[in-house]
Amino acid sequence: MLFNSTAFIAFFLLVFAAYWSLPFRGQNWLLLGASYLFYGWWGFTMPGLQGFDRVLPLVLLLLSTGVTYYCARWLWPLPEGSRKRNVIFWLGIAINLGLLGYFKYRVFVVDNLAAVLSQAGWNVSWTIAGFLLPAGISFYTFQSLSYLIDVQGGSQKPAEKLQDFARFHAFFPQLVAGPIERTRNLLPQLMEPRTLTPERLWTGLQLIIIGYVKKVAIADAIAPLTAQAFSTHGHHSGLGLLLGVYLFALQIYGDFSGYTDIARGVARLLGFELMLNFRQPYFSRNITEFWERWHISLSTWLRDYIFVPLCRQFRGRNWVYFNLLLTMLVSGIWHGASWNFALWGLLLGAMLVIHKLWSGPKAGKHPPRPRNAREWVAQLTGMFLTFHGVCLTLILVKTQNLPHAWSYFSGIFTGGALPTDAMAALYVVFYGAIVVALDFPCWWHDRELPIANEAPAWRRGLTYGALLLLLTFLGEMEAESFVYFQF
Amino acid sequence: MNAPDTPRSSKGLRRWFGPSAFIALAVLVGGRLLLEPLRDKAHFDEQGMDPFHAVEKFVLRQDPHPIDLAFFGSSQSVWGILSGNVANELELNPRAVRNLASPGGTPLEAWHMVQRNQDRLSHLRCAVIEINPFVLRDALDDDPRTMSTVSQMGNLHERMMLDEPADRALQVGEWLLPVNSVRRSLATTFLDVLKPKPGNAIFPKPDFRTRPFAVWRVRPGTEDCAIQRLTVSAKTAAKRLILHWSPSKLQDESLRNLLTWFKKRHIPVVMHQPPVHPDVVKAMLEDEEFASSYRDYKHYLASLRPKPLELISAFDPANCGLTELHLSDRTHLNEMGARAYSRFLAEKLSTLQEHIRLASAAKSKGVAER
Repeated sequence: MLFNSTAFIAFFLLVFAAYWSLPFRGQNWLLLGASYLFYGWWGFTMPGLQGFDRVLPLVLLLLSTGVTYYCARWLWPLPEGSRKRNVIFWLGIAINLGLLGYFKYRVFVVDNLAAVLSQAGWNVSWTIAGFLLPAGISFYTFQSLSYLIDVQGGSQKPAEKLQDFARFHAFFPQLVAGPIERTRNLLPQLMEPRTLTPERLWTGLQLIIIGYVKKVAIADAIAPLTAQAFSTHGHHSGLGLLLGVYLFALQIYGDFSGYTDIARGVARLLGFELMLNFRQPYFSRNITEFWERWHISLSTWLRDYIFVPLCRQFRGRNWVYFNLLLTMLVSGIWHGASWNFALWGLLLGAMLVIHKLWSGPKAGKHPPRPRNAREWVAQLTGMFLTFHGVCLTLILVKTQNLPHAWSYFSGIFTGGALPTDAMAALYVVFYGAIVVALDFPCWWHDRELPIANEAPAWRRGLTYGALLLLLTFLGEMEAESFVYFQF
Repeated sequence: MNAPDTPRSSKGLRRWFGPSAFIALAVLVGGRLLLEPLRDKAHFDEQGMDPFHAVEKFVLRQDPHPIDLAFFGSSQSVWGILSGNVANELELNPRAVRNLASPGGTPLEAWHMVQRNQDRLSHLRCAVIEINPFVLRDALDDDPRTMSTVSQMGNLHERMMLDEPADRALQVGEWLLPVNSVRRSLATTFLDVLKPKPGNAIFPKPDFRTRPFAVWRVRPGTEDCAIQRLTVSAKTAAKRLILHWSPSKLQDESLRNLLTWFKKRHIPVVMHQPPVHPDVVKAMLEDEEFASSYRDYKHYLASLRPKPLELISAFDPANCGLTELHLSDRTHLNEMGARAYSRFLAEKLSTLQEHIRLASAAKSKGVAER
């Protein structure tokens, strides 16, 4: 079920009404049923799916839930370091990664293997079962992995009941595109009674409105232009290609952070607090800061479960750079099964390494808000360079293969402009201004919402009324899928 | 809109709703009502759909030249009829022949377009209306494109004619509190401000055939000639077209309104049924269930009143000398097919000269231009 569909709006209104009229136990069962309906809907209604394929996504989710829960329960009482405990742990990891690997990477692996073999003179052709990539499999697999690792490490007690873990694993607001929740944040909330206060209700609604504006009025409105710019057909000028990348940067941010805002808002209306996933990333003054502000739940996951363990294995300053590159390569491959994504991860890793080498130990410390003209110039320059560095890598995300990415990238430098580029320029300026208007107050005051809770009622009313109007005026409620579903 | 202005000590509803929520609601409703006049303005949509009057503004209204021959229809006509070629065949001024079809176009859209442009269309010498079972069937009522059209321009009576109760409720809600129906793209706003003239590089071309078929253009001797969009099986395509066919009340009434309107103005109407892929025709004729639905559809066409001057059935491409090489997918012609089909239609129209007097129109235009 897509957040930007009438079906979801009707679904959520019903769930919301029923949820707050039920006692705690009833709420928990409702949440579980609603989560499975939300996730299963995708398979039930997907055109072209028939028979078992319709329920396959739900079956995979249930399988991952069962395996993760029982592995955690079985390994917990066993002595640390025991062989049996390790076997159960690795079994749980292998099954979860196996599902992800099979459904997400099999075509990529088989294609590349066939290409390598054909170089060696063996022409083989394999028939690959044509399943669709189940939405959100990368997200819930990472959630399972962190749970298993935490239980194995002793920092997390496993959930007592299967239904408790199942609610955590399938919690519908964040199931298909994150934030990738940690057990210690979400599981305790699921075990305790929740309350709805006026503050929770209204801040949740504000997040939902902002999320819909970002997704429906920004990302979906831009989507046709980026599709045109990145299409291999047709003629594009250098300026047109450059504007196409800027537009894609706005689209992917609006799409993904919009999804997160809606997810957090919806969860808040149900009495839950999900982790922050975006903190105005395009205001980052260097690439290290960017990764602390973009898809925070993934970057912290990678830090805690890949980078830090790697640093424990491979110690020393020079190894840190290698570990960083390797972590970003994993990040790239997590995002998509193609060489484009692998190179995307490596490129971002290289940028992080260069920044660390350049800044030394200060790389992780970011300057406070600018206080004078000189600091403004320095920080704006940093933002400009970081944004363009990120845009450069986004070409790999949007193009179909490496030759396409290269031709797009080199096309930017061929120069030239067409009269039709004026439209793209207008979109960049207009939607860029909306993103800045929404994000700048949050960045400047380091808060979640653009209008402070303490602001006068008229200012809040006017702002959110205007945002709702913008939604009805520029919104494209065509239930366009979210870009991050494919990851 | 936020909690702090909700008086914490108060009880009941006042605890939940502070003044900012009401201000936000007032801004939304007031602003929405202020935007209402935009409903009738053209909105250029990349998909070329006409709920937003793109075809009407950029194909019909921008060129003031009198129109002799107009084509109404769906994407089958958008990609299958080259108005310039038809004009050449009939020796008419190309500006006097307009293809007013749009992707997803239904009789409802054509009827509303005609109503809004009575002055431009009252002097037609002939109206050519595409009919195909898909756009006329009741199952199309909940298609997002139809719903878009209805929310944009449907009156209460039309909204109540939708097939599904849920759709009716949704559309009546939209009629009471219109939310979706003044949506504009930034591109449209930009075009409305700049008002580019035809020929300008940013002048939009809703009939430009860039979507959805990038393979529409055919370069003989290249792989483009191969049929690349046969992604839907012939049986599935036939099922979507005809299986369990019954007419949509909404489209049926719109079609009959159109016929009556033209009849009252003595404008002859020619209906045509564009070709589909031969495999689809085969699938339809071989299966008794399909064939029976097709018979129902043909009975419906025969029942239409006022009767059109002519019903040209080219459903089977063989009827107009086309083969599968002329189709870019199961139901749409490619460039080569469009040329052939346009010639075929022009030839058929020229055989009806006695009734539609296109030749005299060409002659009088020629004299006037000289």
